[in-house]
Amino acid sequence: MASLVPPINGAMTEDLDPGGPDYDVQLESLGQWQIAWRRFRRHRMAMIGSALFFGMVIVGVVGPLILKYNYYNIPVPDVHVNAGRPPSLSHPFGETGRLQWDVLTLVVNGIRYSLLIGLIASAMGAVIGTIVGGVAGYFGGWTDTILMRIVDALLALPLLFVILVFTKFLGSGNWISVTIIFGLFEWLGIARLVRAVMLSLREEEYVDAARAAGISDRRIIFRHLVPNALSPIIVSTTLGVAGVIIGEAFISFLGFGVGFDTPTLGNILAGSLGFISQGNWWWAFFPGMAIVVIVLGINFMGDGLRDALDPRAKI
Amino acid sequence: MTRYIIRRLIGTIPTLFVVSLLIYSILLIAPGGPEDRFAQNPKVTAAAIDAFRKRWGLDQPIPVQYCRWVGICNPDGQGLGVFISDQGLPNFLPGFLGGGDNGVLHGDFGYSSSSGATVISLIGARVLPTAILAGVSLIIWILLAIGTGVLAAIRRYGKADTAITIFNYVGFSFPTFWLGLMLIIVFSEVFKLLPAGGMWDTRTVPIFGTDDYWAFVGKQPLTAFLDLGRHLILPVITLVFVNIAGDSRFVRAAMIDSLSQDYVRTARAKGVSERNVIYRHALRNALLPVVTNIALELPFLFAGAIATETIFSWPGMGLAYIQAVNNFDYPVLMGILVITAVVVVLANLLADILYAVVDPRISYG
Repeated sequence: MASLVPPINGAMTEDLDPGGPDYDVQLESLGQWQIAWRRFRRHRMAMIGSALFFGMVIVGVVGPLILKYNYYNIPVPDVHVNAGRPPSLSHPFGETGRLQWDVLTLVVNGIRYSLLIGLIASAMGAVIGTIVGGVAGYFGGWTDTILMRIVDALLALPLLFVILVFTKFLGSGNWISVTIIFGLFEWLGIARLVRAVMLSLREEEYVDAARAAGISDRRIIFRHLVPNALSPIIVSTTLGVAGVIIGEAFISFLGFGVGFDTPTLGNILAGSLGFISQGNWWWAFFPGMAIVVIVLGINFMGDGLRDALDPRAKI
Repeated sequence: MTRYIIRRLIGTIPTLFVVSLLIYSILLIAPGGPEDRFAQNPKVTAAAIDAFRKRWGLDQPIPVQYCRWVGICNPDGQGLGVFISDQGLPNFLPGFLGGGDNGVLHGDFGYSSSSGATVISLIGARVLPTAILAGVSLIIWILLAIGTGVLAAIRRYGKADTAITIFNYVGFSFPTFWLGLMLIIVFSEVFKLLPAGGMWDTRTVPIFGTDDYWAFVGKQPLTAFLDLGRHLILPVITLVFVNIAGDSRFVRAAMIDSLSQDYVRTARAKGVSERNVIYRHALRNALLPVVTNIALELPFLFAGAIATETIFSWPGMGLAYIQAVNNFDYPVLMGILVITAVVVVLANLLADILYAVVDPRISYG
């Protein structure tokens, strides 16, 4: 079972090629993940999406290291223009209003933190959702009823409403606490997915066999059942990253999320609001474009993953 | 059918109970409680704070406070018991049926802690603007979603399909609030064609919802209508552009599915015109899942236009929510959350019932 993991990593880094050349007609046995990786590679939209997304990841990781300016120490400009100056050679994305910071520096640092928040929060959601869904689906009965009522109830509240209240009252400012709050609300959909798969799988004979062999419930859930639910979990987690990035941007934009000492794409936009009427469009345009590129990439990739991981889909 | 609906209605009670508990506990653990605003005021003595706590029942144990908030326990502490009002009838009935008149179950959400008005009147004033914005957007977006979805399905893998698919993906990836900002920059700052926000022109039209406004509408309906229309254009474009994608994809999938069914082949074999095959045979069946999908989306349009309403300062529920969060206005927050939750739960129910009604193959035993 542990051998399931490396090929999926290969799918992420793009340089690994476990499948070998396509014209090879030798009898080769391909694992489930190798087949998925081959299908993913042939999915044009998925490849474009991955390029967009991983391109932005590279910008986020490497960008701050090679930029001319440091986010925490951007020099005072020679000429003072309150609305900021439009894009020029020395400031390709223009300058912000008032402090005249370099927008490119803000955006690149914002990409770094927005991606971090999105990835960590949806990973948290995947873990919590898998545990809750697995327990609810496997044990059934009252455990299931209570857990699923809580999920229903949370889904009946627009989550953004709840997160707004939480960030305003509990963790506004610090990006780690905002990430945790998002993570604590990301698991609902995944819990439902995993539970649905569990409900059908727990009646299978191999589960009975495992139980008869005296294997513990925990091991049955996480070793025998959860791996079968991995494809929907992967797809849902991937798309969840996009949801968190947009959600965090909105909340920080409203001023309830991450504080200005940590740049995210949302709080960069928040600052720009007052300068739009002074003709400063570049401050609002570039961070938003960065969100669109990241989210578009993730959505393309998620769809490609869905097709690649679904054995019934024909590509 | 009636039995099915009644059973489902009863089934919503535990969900709503858990929702109310969640809402109550979320706001319990949040700092900035009702008496916190006195903390900075040297003139407010500890005795006065105690009196305030007693006056509003904050000195009671939390289960009692919750029970009063929901409206089951008698509000003034002179009740005859938890579930019985002072008239000897179950207390969760509405006032005119002999229940109490205080608490959420009786439609009383208390008073706004920032303005002092009743929560229900504050929220009531916001319903119409939200309904106008949501209604107009919903109609446009459903028509466009069905149109583009059907077109994409019948020209599957063709140029039109590719174009619509790309458009949908891009729309789906736009953050609502940023799209709103860009529209304001282009149409209101650069070209100065449309207002950047608000619901009426403050220089020429009275405040929306007041008697003056309705009198103005009576006198100059065309001016009022055009003014409203001008202010609606940008928010509606924002909502439609972002929301059309999901439904359009959904219609496309449903349409492709029903176009591959046997009855479509039969209809074509019988020589039915392609137009009739598409609109009479395939589309009607493809719309079944779409109807329920739209019912599920309704509440989020009702409440979820927060971003759009905030950007365009549209005086609806979403903006009221943001303002309440900013003012630490707990009663208003709880009121909006409860109402939204009820709408979501009822919409889920409506979706299931609609599905059973429009699709005779579903049995609702």
